[in-house]
Amino acid sequence: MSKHELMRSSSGAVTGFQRPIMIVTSENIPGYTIVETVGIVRGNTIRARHIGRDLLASFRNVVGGEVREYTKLMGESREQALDRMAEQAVELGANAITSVRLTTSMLMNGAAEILAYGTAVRIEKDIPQE
Amino acid sequence: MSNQQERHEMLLMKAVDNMLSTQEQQEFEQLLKTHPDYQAEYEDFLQIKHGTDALRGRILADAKIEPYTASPTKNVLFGFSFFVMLAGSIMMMGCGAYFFLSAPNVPLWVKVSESLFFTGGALLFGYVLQARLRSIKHDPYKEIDI
Repeated sequence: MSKHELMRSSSGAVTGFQRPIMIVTSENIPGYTIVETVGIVRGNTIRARHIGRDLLASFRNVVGGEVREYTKLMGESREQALDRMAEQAVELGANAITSVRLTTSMLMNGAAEILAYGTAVRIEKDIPQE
Repeated sequence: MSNQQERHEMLLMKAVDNMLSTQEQQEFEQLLKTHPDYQAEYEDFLQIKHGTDALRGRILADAKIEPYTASPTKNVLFGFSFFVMLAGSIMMMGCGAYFFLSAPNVPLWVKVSESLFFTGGALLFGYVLQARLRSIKHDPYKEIDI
């Protein structure tokens, strides 16, 4: 799975990776037809920052504002969970994932726990009618 | 809702969005003359539109996000502070361990069990630290900012 193509916001911040598979939250993809449902795919991760960043985050909690340390942590976890889900879909022979959802749970303090799941499908591009 | 009413509503919405064609513009102007209640409604909608447009502009202006690793100075400052704190904590723990182990009134078995406990803890920490240092080089997710 390629993780090298970075997606950036207008300010230059890295927001994620380009993936070789289409991942959508809708049940259908306009312009494509689902020809086969492969099955459910999921990816999960639990990540933490080191104690120095946790300490910095707790200081930010005192003064208010965005806790950048944990914003980054959530971003890393989200991308890793999505990557693992996409890897599973590719292994199963799918070329898209529909109905993708992200959920979280609470096991550890100061850790981001993300589960990404969706339906792996095989899609084909619609041929425009003459 | 009658067809005519529906047409009026459509013209009103298009007028608010500034999307009327020339013919529709004339029709809408005629409508405002014949139905003064639409004039009031039109003004209300315009006011809301201007308000929300201004709000959207402000939200987008505020949404400028700096990359997480934007400033090397901040990273150096963080690294230095963290190093100083860590060094201080290790020195304090070493000092505490020295006084504890050299205290004459603490039984030997307590000293041995304490030493074993902390040695085991240090070994476990060393194990996870080594694993992390090995994986951090190949961790693609450290590039993610937001």
